[in-house]
Amino acid sequence: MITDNRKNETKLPQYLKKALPEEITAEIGELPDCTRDGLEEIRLRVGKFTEYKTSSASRRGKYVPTRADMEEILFSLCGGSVYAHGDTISQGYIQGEDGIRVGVVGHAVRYGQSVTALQNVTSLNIRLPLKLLRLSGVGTPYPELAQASVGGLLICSPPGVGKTTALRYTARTLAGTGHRVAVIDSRGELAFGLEAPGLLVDILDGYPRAAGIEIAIRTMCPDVIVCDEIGNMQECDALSGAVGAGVSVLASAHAAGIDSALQRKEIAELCRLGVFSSVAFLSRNGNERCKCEIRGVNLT
Amino acid sequence: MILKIMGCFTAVAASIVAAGAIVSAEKRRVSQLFAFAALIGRMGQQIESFNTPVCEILKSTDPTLLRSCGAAAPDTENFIGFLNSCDLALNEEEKSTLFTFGADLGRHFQSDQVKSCALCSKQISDFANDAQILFPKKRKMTYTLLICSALALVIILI
Repeated sequence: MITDNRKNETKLPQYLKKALPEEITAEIGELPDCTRDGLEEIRLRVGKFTEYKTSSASRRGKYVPTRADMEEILFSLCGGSVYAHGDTISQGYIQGEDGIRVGVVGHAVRYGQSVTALQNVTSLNIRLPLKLLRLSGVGTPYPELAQASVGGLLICSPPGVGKTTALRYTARTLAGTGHRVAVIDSRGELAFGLEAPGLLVDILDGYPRAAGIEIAIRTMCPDVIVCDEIGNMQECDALSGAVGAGVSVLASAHAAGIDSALQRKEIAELCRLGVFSSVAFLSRNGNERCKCEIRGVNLT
Repeated sequence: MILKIMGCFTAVAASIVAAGAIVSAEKRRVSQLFAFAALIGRMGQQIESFNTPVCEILKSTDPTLLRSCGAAAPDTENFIGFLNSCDLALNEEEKSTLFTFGADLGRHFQSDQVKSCALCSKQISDFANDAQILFPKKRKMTYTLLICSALALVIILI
């Protein structure tokens, strides 16, 4: 049983204080302690009540953003430079500061099948990262994962349970125990909290996963490569190349359970190739308690 | 008589000083326009090549160029803040062009933003070129008008 350490994670990051309208920050200040402490998502929709979501509940606020408000919030979340986030907005998110990621949807401007820009933002989902322990802190809430990851570990769970947080903790533990760790942070949220000078981690920020994995192997000689949300065959090819080069892989993927994860073609193939020797499944009962089940896999 | 002579000298001296101040302000205006054209051109380049955020462009810009824009202590958080921190020697039309551009800056995707920078840079360059062409004429006219006015005053006084 693993417990998320999220106590005292009540203060809204400066980045959000600057970007969000006063009405929202005031509403967050008025939320009950239990909601405010465990706040995971702030959801804004044009013409609808703001929603504050924790792991176990969701609460409606009174603030109703207009279209102009949403444009202004998006502008502020982008630090006054929407174009600098153009690529990620087209993919549906903004890479914020302090590990915050904001989901963005609206009217897609398309060229063929690809989305090239976004107009009239209709919804924003501001996802707050779970709290990281300080570097000086001893112990980690995920010791099993660090042990299992040396032979290659896939962490899977449904969305919002804490895969990214688990990856961060585990990467930090591995780096703290003398492993050379390369973090492929394609969405700018995985490396949050790994900046401490004592953590000798190579962070490949903004690289597409497959390219980042290849570059890390070629240039950084890592013992372990960490990457989030693997999905396509190109990434799987790069990961199998990593194992061929003697590098362990610690990755995550969305799945409803270990069996359903292993039924996915790419993951089954990676297990067969020996990229992952174990699969960990994270689940949460809704009250901030996170269960971790680790199973060895051998599909050869 | 001495008082009259002193009054004449004072009137002439005052007109020369006033003409000098006006010409100096005009010179500052021209140099500010060229500096803004260069700054906005640089912004367009940075956005086109690296998608650099506005605040980072301003922070990484040569302080001499920022000073040429009239900012002794530039606010580099955003372009409107930067304009407000400048001691602008521009006319209303030029200020309006810059503030309109600043209010719009950062609200578009890359291609539109690059076009917007190019357009504003061209407008400001046009203002600068016109101002530079007119500068010698304006200087001559200012000195002539003010000194003639002072001499007229002297004649009346005498």
